[in-house]
Amino acid sequence: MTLHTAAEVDLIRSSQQGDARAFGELVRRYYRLVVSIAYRLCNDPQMAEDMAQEAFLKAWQALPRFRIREEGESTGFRAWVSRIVVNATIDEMRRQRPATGLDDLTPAGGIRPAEALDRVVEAEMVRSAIARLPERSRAALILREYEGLSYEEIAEALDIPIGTVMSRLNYARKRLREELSHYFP
Amino acid sequence: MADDHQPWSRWLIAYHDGELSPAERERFLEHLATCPRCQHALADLESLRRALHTVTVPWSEISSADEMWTRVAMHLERRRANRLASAPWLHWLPSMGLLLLNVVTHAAGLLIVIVMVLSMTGLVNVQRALGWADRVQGVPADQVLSWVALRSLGGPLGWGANMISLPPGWDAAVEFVLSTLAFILVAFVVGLAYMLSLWLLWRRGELT
Repeated sequence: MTLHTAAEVDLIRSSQQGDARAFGELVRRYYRLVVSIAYRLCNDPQMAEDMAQEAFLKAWQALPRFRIREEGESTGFRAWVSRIVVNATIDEMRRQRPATGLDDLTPAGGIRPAEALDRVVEAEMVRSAIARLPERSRAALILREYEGLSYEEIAEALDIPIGTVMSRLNYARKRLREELSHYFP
Repeated sequence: MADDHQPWSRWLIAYHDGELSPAERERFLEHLATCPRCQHALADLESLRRALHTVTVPWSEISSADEMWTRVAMHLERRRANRLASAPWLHWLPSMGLLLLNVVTHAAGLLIVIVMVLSMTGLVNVQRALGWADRVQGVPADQVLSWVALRSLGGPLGWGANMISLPPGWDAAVEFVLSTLAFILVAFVVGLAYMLSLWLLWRRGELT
């Protein structure tokens, strides 16, 4: 166990015993991860912040039930907190879907391939293509490509077997390649 | 016809995702050096990864971690305050619990004194009233009860043994241990239940 992991174990144990200051340190450590996952799922900075807050409140309540991983280099907290924010964000997106569906995330038509040279437009096309992926494949892709979670951590975060993680990643990548073939030949 | 390249395709993706062991990685790199198909597929995956990383999080539009913690802490405090408002008994639970512990312990002691007095004065045949056995180790049950009661109160303090002489045939050591344990257990069980309830409330953040 590394020093970093040992320190995290202390923070988690203290938080589990009701130490709010220790939990505050965990919030600071995982804030960027949590916001980033939420944002990449919903594409809305304000909603991402709200989901991060919701996730941390849920994490505080559920912490007494969190079991620290005894083996390996990780405490399992990263996967656990990722799971909370993925579920919270997907639930909220489903709840809001009638008002702000995924179609709203897709830029208006008429963008020609030549314009994709512009970095902003390029990013927008990628963002739209990701937004059109099925939720669970999108979550797997985000956790892997942006947050660098291992297959094992993604399996924990999404509560699926590792084989399913790999198939969802393959599916997401294949779909993205097809959708972005004009822009990234 | 079976696709002999299939296993390498799986390794390619695992390699791209950093999931191969050092030995597997070395083996795959040897294959990659001689396989145009894998080289092309890997370039494809890397191209997609570069494309994905054109999308960034607009951190300038998002609060800092400290601001987030302030908000989370405020929510936690508000939730706690709301819970206390909806359950005011949580405020005085600790002091009421201590009071209850005292009352129960003293009531148990008082009961023992009453039974002892009644039994010793012969006003009530406690043994018959409670339906106990006639004799314990050759001693009449009401005398046993007196002894147990006396020692329950006095045993822990060490003065009960001097108040009445030991009946013949009575095992003093067993009597002393049993009567002392009886008294301690009453206080212990009540105290334990109380402490457990306080601990559970504290774990849930109801108490600070």
